[in-house]
Amino acid sequence: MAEVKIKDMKYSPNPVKVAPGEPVYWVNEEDDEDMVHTATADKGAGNEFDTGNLNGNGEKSKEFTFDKTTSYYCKKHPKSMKGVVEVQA
Amino acid sequence: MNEKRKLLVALVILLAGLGGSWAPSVEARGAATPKRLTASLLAKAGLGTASPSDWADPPKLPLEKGPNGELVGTLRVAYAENFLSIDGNRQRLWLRSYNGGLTGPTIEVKAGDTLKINFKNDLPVQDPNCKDTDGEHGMDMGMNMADGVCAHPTKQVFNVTNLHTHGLHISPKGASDNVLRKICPGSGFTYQFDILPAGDPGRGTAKHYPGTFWYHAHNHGSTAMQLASGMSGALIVRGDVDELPEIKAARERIFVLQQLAYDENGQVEDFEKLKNEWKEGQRHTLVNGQAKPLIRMRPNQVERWRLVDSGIFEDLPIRIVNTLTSESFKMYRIAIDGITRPKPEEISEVELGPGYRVDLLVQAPAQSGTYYLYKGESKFSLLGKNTGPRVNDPQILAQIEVAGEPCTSSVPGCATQIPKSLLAPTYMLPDIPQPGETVVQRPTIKFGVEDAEQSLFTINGTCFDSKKPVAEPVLGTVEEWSVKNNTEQVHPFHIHVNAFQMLDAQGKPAEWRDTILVPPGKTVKFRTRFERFDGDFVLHCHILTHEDSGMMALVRVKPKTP
Repeated sequence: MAEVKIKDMKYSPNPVKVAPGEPVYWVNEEDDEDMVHTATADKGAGNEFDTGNLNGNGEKSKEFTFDKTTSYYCKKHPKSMKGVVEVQA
Repeated sequence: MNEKRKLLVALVILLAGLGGSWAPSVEARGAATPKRLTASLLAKAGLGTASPSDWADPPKLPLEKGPNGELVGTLRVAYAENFLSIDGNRQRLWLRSYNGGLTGPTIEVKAGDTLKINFKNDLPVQDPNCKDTDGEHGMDMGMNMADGVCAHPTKQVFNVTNLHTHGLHISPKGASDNVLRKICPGSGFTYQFDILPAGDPGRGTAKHYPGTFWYHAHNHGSTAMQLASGMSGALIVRGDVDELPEIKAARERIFVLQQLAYDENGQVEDFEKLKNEWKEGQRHTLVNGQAKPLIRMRPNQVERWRLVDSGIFEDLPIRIVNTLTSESFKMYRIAIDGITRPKPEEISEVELGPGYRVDLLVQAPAQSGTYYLYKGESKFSLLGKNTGPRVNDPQILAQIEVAGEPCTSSVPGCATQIPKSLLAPTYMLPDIPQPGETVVQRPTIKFGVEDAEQSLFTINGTCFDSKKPVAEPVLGTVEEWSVKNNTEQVHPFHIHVNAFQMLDAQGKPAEWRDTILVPPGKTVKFRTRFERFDGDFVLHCHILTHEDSGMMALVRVKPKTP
């Protein structure tokens, strides 16, 4: 199981390295509950996924599994927040 | 000496106080080491080969004395044909205007005046169901827009208008600075602005501070379209600081800085086009409706410049003086957002956000030559499918020729002195808190994101609701506010009626303003007095495409209960 923390408008770790099928979840650790983030797959960039809105103060997403390296972004901050799930065989 | 050797490039960068931990404070950077500008940078900044047109201040609005001593003027909103020449290319424009110009006429008043504006909306009707409203019961926003809904406006609202006096400490009710009022095409209204002291003796004998303010359209949904057409103008309150001998002696220039966003037909008619596309060639910040006007000054001459950023989106970092010799322009900031500083502050950079004003005393160097008012790369600008130079590219705003007999005290009409101190309006704006004042902390106001790709932003989680205030302070109280930006781009925060005093990184009182850039992820703190005027008004982002799409909130100042 891998965890990606979201804090100060950054994903960490980035990239997150996982085995095929290993679950990944995101947790929004911004201090401000209203600093909402998502982790959403870029179109055509691997596996499709979208955490939906995650509020600050610790809201966690459900778990996602990947069989392909997938780039993603935050729908609320699409220019500045980008990440990669790197699937390692 | 040949021209190349004589060519001195003076980049005046005025960088208005951004930085620190995020507690913006007055930027009194000293005379930093100038940075040299090369010929290629000048060319990239659009130096051009066509001769610049001579400087022109905006025309003044004629004001007549009414039967009760009031000043009466007329503003007519209508389409007007104008021609704009940039580097020898002449473009016909057909834009909504105040009194036919690319910039609105300058309005001049002083404390104690009652200003009446006979306002006429002669734009064509788009929505036959449009009805004038006075905003007393919220706002009827027109088609496609509703309270609390984030949405881009549609064309049916683009010809509805009203009038806002940005920065004036004045009533937001009735016929005064009431931006919830709606004036439909074909309608008229007589505004009345009582510049303190005026009217109700309960307001005391306070005298409105002199300074540089401005006026512009402010109907929700059409503000961006109308300002992108040029519907803005300077509003000057004259007063004591203007009588200081050094300032009185200095020639004054007004810079209404605009970016007109016309399409290939010279028109502004489509919000999406405004938001996403720029026609090549109109990516210029104009000065009073002109591109790169020519300013003539004598060596050593001091002038007073009033700069107004009336652009809908762009920040204007006007850059450091750069010379080929040790000589350069000197620049002193004397007012921020129309509020005079305690003393002139020598600076080398200023950044104007949308809505900002800065008053400067500028002094030409002793050496003759050609200088340039230069805008550096903007931090933010309208993004989209630009097909040519982008508005956030460096750009020359004006050319300055320093020539002739040097200014000295014996040359009539030629100022050379900088005052040692000014007349900051502490009679109206003393530091907060004063003895006996209790400062109440308000919950943080937060900028958020509804849909980043559509540039739909919220304030406290919602878009503009004309019936639900986000804050309801009581008249006569003093509050400390925090404004936090949870988006990934800068937003300029502006609030009507009452100026606010920034807090520095140590939490100490700093400069007074009415508009402040809030960087992404950061919080700004300030204090303000809700004094003299109750009623409904607004706070909003001064990126006007954001405001028109909902990034605005109602503030309701409630009367004191007995």
